[in-house]
Amino acid sequence: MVKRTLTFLSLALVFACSKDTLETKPTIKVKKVNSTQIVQGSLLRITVEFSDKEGDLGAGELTYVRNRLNIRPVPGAFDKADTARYPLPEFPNRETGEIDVDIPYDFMDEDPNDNDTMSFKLMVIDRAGNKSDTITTGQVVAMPF
Amino acid sequence: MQLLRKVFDFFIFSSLYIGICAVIMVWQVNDLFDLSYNKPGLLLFVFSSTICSYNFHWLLTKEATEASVRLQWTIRHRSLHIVLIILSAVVAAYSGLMFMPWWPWFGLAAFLTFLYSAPKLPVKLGYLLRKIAIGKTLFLTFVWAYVTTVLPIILGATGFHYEQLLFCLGRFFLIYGICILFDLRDRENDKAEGIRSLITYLSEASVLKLFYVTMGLFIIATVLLPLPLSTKIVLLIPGIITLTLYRPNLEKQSDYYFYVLLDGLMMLSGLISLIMHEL
Repeated sequence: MVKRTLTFLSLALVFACSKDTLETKPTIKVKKVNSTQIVQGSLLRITVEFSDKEGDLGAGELTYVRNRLNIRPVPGAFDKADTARYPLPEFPNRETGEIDVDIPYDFMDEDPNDNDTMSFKLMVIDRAGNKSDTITTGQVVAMPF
Repeated sequence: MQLLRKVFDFFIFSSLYIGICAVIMVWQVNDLFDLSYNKPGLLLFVFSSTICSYNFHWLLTKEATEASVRLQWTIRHRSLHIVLIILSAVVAAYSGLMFMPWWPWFGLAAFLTFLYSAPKLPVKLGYLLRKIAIGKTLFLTFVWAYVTTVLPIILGATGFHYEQLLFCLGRFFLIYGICILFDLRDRENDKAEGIRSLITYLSEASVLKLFYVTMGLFIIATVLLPLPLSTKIVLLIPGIITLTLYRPNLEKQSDYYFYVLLDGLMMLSGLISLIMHEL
């Protein structure tokens, strides 16, 4: 039984060794979120880890989209845009690295009478136009009080 | 010496110890994945709700075919169990309010925890649940893995990537392996009481196989984690110890063996990490 378990284990290790192959399409994942309860005057910082075979993400583009999770709709006059698109700063070619995405409280805050609960979808495009998959953060809350 | 023994018994049998185990397990997840959220709030919630649910569970436990130190303590300290349930429920409610936007995730944890003890309730629903409850161990394992691993990751909002998923699986298998050892102790009693679980259903040889497969899966999940080797070694230690305990477990062991050693194995790697952190 122990022998069989060890065989299983060594097979898994072989798979583990061949896992990390870089792709032309940038790959991203959320490494850290600075806080999940954002109060007035502060900002949400999402640290995104990227890997890209060509390393040409510098001067590419980043898009994030708010996915509102409140059941109650935003009062019409306070409804804001949900999508933001930014050029990434230029940096020397590198295969892996991190990008800090700062989202101000004012972008997150919509309903003046309630907490705003949301998640964010993020996506990057490298200089050659290769798009990453879309990743989603967990739930974050903008708290006016 | 007798006073020390009394303090020790209070620490273990009032479930303060298992509450600390749960807190250290959550701390470990926060530390490993560098999570940022209201961490003191969750630690307080996990500590108080563990104490509340375990005292509730023990308060409802009235019968045992063999005398147990823990059960004797429980019978002598019923009012203390009630006081602890009330106090910890208040603290759990207070700390739970800090996470109102995440209430469905907390509600799920509370509901599952209640369901675990519900078959012991002396009401119709309790008897019904006892009849239909299969896989109580799997259920308990899931609750522990959910509260101490999945919940902090949800609150950290990083989402579930390869390493988070592997860690959740690894912890699930470690807890399940430990639970098998508990179930082996209760096997004859559970059979006599008609409690249906995988361990009462399987033959002794099959239980051994299940145990080795479970611990093998724990080792695989841990080895595959994209973490430094030293971290993986620390994570593996409780699994290796658990693996060596199957045979000794078949002999009659004291309540301290189960409620100090086996329960402590769940938090062991977290405790080692915490000590290394502080040094």
